[in-house]
Amino acid sequence: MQTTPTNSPVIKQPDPAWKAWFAKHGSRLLMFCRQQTRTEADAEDVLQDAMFRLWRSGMTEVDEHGEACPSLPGAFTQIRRSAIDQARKNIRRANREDRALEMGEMTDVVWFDSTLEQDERAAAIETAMKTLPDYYQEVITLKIWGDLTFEQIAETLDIPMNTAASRYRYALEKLRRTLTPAKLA
Amino acid sequence: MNSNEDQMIAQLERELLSLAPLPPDPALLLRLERTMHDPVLDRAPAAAKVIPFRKPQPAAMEHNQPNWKPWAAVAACAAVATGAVTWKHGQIQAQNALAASPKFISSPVQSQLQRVQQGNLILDPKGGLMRQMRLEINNQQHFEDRVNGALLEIRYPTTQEILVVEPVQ
Repeated sequence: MQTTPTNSPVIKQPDPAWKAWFAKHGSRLLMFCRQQTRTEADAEDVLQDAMFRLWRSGMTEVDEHGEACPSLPGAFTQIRRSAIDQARKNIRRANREDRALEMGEMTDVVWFDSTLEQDERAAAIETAMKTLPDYYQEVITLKIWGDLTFEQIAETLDIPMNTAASRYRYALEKLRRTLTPAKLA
Repeated sequence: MNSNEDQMIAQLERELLSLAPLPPDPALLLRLERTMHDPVLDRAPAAAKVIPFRKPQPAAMEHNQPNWKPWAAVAACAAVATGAVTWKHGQIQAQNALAASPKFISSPVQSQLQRVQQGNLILDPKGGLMRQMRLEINNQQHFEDRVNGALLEIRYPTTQEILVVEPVQ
């Protein structure tokens, strides 16, 4: 246990702008967390930690209404950093989860909010996505569901922009080959 | 790359875009909201630290696993605070199956539990966690479900310090 002193008691009200921002982007942020981690619990922990880091960093951008809001690319960057930190810190936990994975206990992590008719296809895509190397998965996730530009992806992943673009293309090609033409909708 | 391949990739891209990410669970939203807007954190965001708790994987539930310790600490703090167990002679006397054995609780935690008993320390009563525990303290499965992912905040009423339970490495 640890005790942390605080300063003078000035209580702030919750910021409604943050809630609106998270309501808009929460799903895509959590999607990236799911891609970066191995379990739903890990994804939620990483998201919480990343949001706290983002909030503490004060990284903001101007939205379409000209108002300051938390930075979306900044959020993805914090998620990635948090996921890396979590992986480094929790080696023993990861080992346990590896064993649990072998026991088939983590197969219920779902990425997509699909309708009934989409279920089978969504599951096939999710399975195919998870067979891709991580460096392909993260680029596709950030581009398709994170709605980031290649420049923002490059910044988030700390890679050259051309690399981000080529990984995206290669990942799509690989996905297409996995999801055979006959299975395409 | 031929145009047929390009078309199929474009079709796949459209299909991927049509899939919406699964939205966050409402419990996670509540947890984030509390983290982001905790009034104490608002006062000292750089210093304060809130750590999420979650139910360990079955393998970690064995008593000698490190992650069992904070879990037991949470359970014990909650149990003592809600009166489900009592503190006597440095040991937690179990009144139901939920209570953690003191040997799995670190001595700093034990000393804090003593303070809870003495009335010098309070568990944060706000939020659903404590309310749910009061209601469901006798149902271990419900308790575990509720504590899973919840935050434990313990505050000293006099000094306004935050007590944070950290995972044992």
